[in-house]
Parts: sequence; structure tokens; C-alpha cells
Amino acid sequence: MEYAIFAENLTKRFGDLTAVDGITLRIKKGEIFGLVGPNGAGKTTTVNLLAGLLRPTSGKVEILGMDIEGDNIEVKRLIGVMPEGLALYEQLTGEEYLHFVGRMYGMDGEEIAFRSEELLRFMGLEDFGGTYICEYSTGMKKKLSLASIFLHDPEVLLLDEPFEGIDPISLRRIREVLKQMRDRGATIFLTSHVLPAVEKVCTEVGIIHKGKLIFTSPTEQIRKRFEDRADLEDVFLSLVVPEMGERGLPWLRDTKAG
Amino acid sequence: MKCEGQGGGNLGWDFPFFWPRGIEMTFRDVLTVSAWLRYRLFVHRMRQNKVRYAVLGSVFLILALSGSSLFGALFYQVQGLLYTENPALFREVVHLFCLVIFLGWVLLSLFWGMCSPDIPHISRMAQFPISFKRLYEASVLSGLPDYWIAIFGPAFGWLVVSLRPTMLMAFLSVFSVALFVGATYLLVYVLNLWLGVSLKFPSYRKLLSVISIAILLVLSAVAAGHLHVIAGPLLKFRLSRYSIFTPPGLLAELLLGIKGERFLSSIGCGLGLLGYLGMSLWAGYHLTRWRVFERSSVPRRDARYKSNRFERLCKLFEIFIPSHYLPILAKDLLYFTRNPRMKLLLVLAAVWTLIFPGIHTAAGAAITPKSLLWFLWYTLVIICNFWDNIFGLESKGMANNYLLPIGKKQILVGKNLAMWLLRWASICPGLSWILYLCWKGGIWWEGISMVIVLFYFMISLALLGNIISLRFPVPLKFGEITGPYTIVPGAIVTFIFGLLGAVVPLAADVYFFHYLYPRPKIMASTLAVLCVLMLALYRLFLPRAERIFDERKEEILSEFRAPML
Repeated sequence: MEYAIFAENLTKRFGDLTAVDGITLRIKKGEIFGLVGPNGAGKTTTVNLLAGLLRPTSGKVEILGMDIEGDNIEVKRLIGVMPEGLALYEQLTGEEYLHFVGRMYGMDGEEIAFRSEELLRFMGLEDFGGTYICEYSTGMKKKLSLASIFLHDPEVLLLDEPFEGIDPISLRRIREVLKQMRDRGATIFLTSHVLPAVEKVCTEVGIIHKGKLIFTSPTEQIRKRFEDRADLEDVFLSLVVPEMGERGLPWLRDTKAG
Repeated sequence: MKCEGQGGGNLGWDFPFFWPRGIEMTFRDVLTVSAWLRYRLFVHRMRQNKVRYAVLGSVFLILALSGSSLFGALFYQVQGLLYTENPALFREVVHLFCLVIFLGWVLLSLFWGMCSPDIPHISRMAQFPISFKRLYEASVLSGLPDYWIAIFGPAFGWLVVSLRPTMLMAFLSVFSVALFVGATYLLVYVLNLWLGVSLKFPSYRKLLSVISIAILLVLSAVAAGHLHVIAGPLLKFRLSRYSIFTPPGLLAELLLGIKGERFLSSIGCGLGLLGYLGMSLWAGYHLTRWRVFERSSVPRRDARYKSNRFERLCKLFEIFIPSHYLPILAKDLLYFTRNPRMKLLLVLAAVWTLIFPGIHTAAGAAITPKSLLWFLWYTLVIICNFWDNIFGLESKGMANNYLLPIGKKQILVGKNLAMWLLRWASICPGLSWILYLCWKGGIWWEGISMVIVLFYFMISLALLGNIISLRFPVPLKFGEITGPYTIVPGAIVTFIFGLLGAVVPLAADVYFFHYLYPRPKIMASTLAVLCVLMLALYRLFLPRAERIFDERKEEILSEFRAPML
């Protein structure tokens, strides 16, 4: 069976540190896979490996049946990547940036103009299309980055922390557009700390901890498998920090005198 | 103000042991912390950028020693020449004097920039219960001792050694230099606080520039007024030919021209000075609007572009540039012209290349192959100023080069084309004027040869730029190499490096130009062959460059601080 995203025994080491340790991913077309994990667990490294920004120490990655290694332009044409640093050109305006991306994907100028206007409106950035990106807030930059990824209607999306720093209105819109893209047959791989959003949008969830994929499950089966757990957050905490107690900071418990 | 516990954990270092705990914070405490912060930042920067600081240190040492020896020479000679009269030597002495002051100012800015704590670090300090004004004052004052020791220690030593036979003169020279620099420093400091602009570091630098220029003007005027009593063997320095293009040199020429009733020359120099003044004002105006401390530069803070310049550029160039180079070319053109420092460099290059034919025309001299050679050297030196770090302005956007569906070769060629177009645009006015003079003087073969040399040079710079950028990828932040955000020293160091990098590709062509200009047709064809060879070399290197681009992916991205973990 051909997977949209296929990674086998993926490992990445930075010196002595093993950031990703033998991860295997098989994500079917039309799925939204959410990778969650604590800080430094290896989420961003995984996205960078899948996007070809990093070369794996061992293992291999295939996107839509094609090897991501080397300078595979054909794969890049079919995917959209939002890396953690967003990779925006800050001295272009939002509109210009979308035109730049569109041109890079070989789109026609008029088509870019039409889609970028729609996307800017959809993301609530219609009044900021002519503003330099360096003047955008973090959330606005994230929305623009997402807009640039949706612009060429990719078949596979790799999104690193797409929900961070996004207001609730935009968060809902982004969730909607991700679902719409999935309905069109797109496959989405995302990482996030916003567990409720992951639970709502993803069809499958994986938990990564210390570079290892310790849990994967279709989202609707999580509650069945962990009957005593209320939601994904509980499952996540029970798997990643089982010993977490209610210790807190002792000095904060002391009531201030007077 | 109360300061509880140890602050500054967010700086990544522990505060020093003498940090006051839970006591009233005095100015002395702030000063102590500031001095400590400066020291730590300096050490931290040195550790992080060993190679850059080694290079910078060498350049700094050369400049300091040159400056010191010039001072030494000047005062030594002046002592012996005090009672002679030779008006021709005025010029040299004035130029020498102006050049030395100019150099002193450059050194001052260099080292000040190197030692100043970054504003983000200072800003982080502002979260603690410390008045920012106090913090700033402390920062300025804490810079004084290390500044004096490091910048003037070797220079003073050198001066004393070189002026050993005349200890009184040595003392006077040291004293005058110290007075000049110290006065500038303190004047700026006092004015800064008095004018209430102490919170704006860019304004501080602007003030420093303005006051330095004012002092230069006064000193140059005083010097020009009193140097009629100086004569002697100083002619051997012949500095006027080099310093004529610096602001003090132009000022000196203006004054001497008026004195000697050479009004045409004075007008030319006055225009040059006006050009510099205009650029300074323009730069000063923009300095206040740049968020230089957060990013390399920001074009216009609150401006909104209602027009899509990217699309317009694409449409403009799509007639003669293949479509796969177009987005990169248009993006880079926008990036370069929106970066205030690059824009400043472009304007400077255009003005400087115009000065040569301007002065030539003003002097009423006919254009000759030899003067063309001088123009060629002059122009080549100026266009070296463009940093050939083709990834320079990418920053986080660097990741796009690996994510977007475009070949590495297209990226390189697109970027080279953008730089190439900007270079030609900047020298176009001066070059057109020179070509017009060539046509008028009937030496059009020589003119063509000169254009071929420029082509050759630009191709070789593109080749060199690709090699350097792929091997040593660094984000371009003007001034960063000399410390934070000092444009003029940054540009000077960039210029020196550019010049060094240009020597190899330049040598063969200028050699041919120099030796073959009596036979212009042979010269033009030889140079054309060289140009084609260089183009072939550039073309041959592209596949290799493409491979390096891909092989060094992780190193290149990590240089641009793309997220890896």
C-alpha cells in the first residue's frame, strides 16, 4: 500500500544527542496525523526530517512514494511545509510574499492574486496584505505562513506547531481549512502542544518522548483504550510523566505574612 | 528601589558575587552590573565569533597602528617644519591632518560598537527594578575605562616610541588626541542625556556622527587657516590624491581652493560635500526609524505598501529573464533595495562613481587612457563594496531555498543576477559620463575595453561570491562584523574585505588594460576573450556549487539559525 508519508526507522543524532530514535510512520492519504510530545522530545526534528531539511542519520523517508532525499523538486511541488521558524522573508509585504511563493510553484500571476486575496481574507489578514511582514505579530506571521502553504493546494502538508500563538477565531478557521483540505484528499502531518486542538482536528495521534514514538492511535479510539482518562491531555500526561504529582513549589504554598 | 535576590538569570549567566541582595540599589550598583555585563558580553561575543574577531582584531590593529604612526609622523614633521613656508605643503598637511582625524573617528566608532552591549540585553535588564536612564548612564560610563585602555593603549605606546626624541611633543600629541576623543565622548554623553534621547541608541550614534563631523569641520577650518607657516618634505606623503574623496579631504580642498581662488575646484568639492551631507542626513533620518537592534533592518515601520512591487518587478523582467530565475531575482532586488544599509551603499556607489568624471570635467582635463585606468581602479574598488555574500539577507527565509520547488542552480543564478543588476545600476551614471567623455575624446575602443573589464570583474565576483557564500555562509548584518550596528565602520571593514577578495580576479584584467592600452583594438579583443573565459568558468562551477549547496544543507541552515531541534 502506498502511504502519503512513510518513514522507516528514522533516526537523527546531533553529536551525542539522539533527537529522533528509530521512528516509523505510516500515514495514509487523507489522514491528519498529530504528533505531540514535551519540549525537546524531537517533534521539530521529525518535521524537518520529513521535509528534507535535515538528513537522517539512518532510516528513510518517502512522501507520496518518492524519496525526499536529494534535490527532489517533484516532491517539493506536491508538499507544503511550515517549519518552526516560519521561513518568511520579513522585508516583503504579506501580499508580496504570497506572490513570491506562488511564482516559485509556477503559478500564474492572476491566479496568485485571486487566491492570495481569498487566503488573506480567510486568515483575517486582509488589512495587512500591504504591510511588511516584519511588522506582523507572531500570530499574524503564523497565519501568513499557513496561507502561503495553502496557496498551491498541496497534497501533503507538514506543519510544525501550527496552533501556537493563534487566536481562538483563527484557530477555528485553521481547523476548518485543515479539515477541508483533508476532505479534498490532502494528508496532513502536524506537531502541537495545543492538545484540545489536536484532538479535535486529527484523525490519528502519536506521542513522542525522548525521540521515541511511544504511542499511536486513531483519535476516536483513545477514549476507548483509556477508559479512565478524560481526554488526550490525560493520556499524554499519564504516558509521558506518570510520576507527576501535586508537589508544586513549597515556598509558594506559604501564606505571606500580613 | 529595591532589588530582591539575584536577577539576570534570563541572560544565561549568574550575576557577579557583588550583586546587592535586598538592599537599596544605588547608581554605583548599576554601574557595577553594567561594567560586568559589558565584560561578559564582550567575552561571550569573542567566544562565539573567534574567527570574525580575530580578523576584526587584525584590521583594528592595522588601523590603530597606521593612525598612531600617522600622528607620530605628523607631529614629528610639524616640529621641524614649523617655521618654513611652502604653500604647496599646506595641502598635504591639511589632508594628512584631516585623514588622521577621520581615522581616529573610525577607530572610535569601531571600538565603541564592539564594546557596547546589545540593546536586547539592556532591554532585558529593564525588567528589573532599575531605571533605564540609570542603566544607560552606567552603560556609557562603564565603557570608558576599557575603551581608553584598549583603543588608546597601543596607540599611545606607539606615539611615545615614535616621538621619543621629542618627549614634550609626544606628550602634547597624546594630550591633544585624548582631549579630542574624550571631549567627543563626554559631549555626546552629556548631550544625549540633556536632549533626552538617551533611550534611543540609534540617536546616540547619530549624535556621535553629527558631533564628530562638527568637530572635524571646526578643526579642519582651524588647521586650514594656520597651516600657511608649514613647509618641508611632507610632500612625499602625497595624501591629497587619496584623501580627496573623503569628507575632510573635500573640505580641505574647498577651503584651499577658496584661498587660492580656484573657484571651479571649490565648487566641485562643495558639491561633493553636499552629497556627503545629504547622504548623512538621509542615513541619520532613517537611523531613527530602524529597529536595528531587533533585526538587521526594517524599511519603514508604519508604512503600508499598497502596491505589489514584487509582481511589478516580475512583469518588468519577464521579457528578458527566464521565468525560473524571476522570483528569486525579484525577491532579492526588493530585499537589497529595502535594506537601508544596502540602499545607502547603492547610493554611495552611484555618487562616488560620479565624483571622478565630475572632478575631471571640473578640472577641464581631457580624458586619456591613463585616466581611464584610474577610473577603472576607482570604480572597481567602489563596487567591491557590495558584499558578495549572496545568502546574506536571507535570515530565517533561508529554509525556503530548501523547501520551495526550485533547483539550487536557479537560486544561485537568480541571486547573482540580482546583485549584478544592482551593481550596474549603481555605476551606470558615472560610467555613462565617462563613456561620453571617451566618445568625445575619440578613445572609444578604450571605453569599450573598460566596459569589458567591468563585465569580467562582475562575473568573477559572482563566482567568488558563490564559493564564499557556500563555504562560509553567514547572514549579512552590516556592522555586525565590527560589533553591533555601526554602519560606517561596518562598511569600511566590508570594503577592505571586498577589496582583498577582488584582487585575484582583478589582477589579470587590469594588467592587460595597463600594458595594452597603447594598442586599443588588441586590448579590447584580449579582454573580451578573458571575459568569455571567466563566464565559462562561472558556468562550469555552477553544478559543483549546486552540489555543495545540497551537501552543506545542515551547516548552511544552522548558520541562519533555522530551527533544527
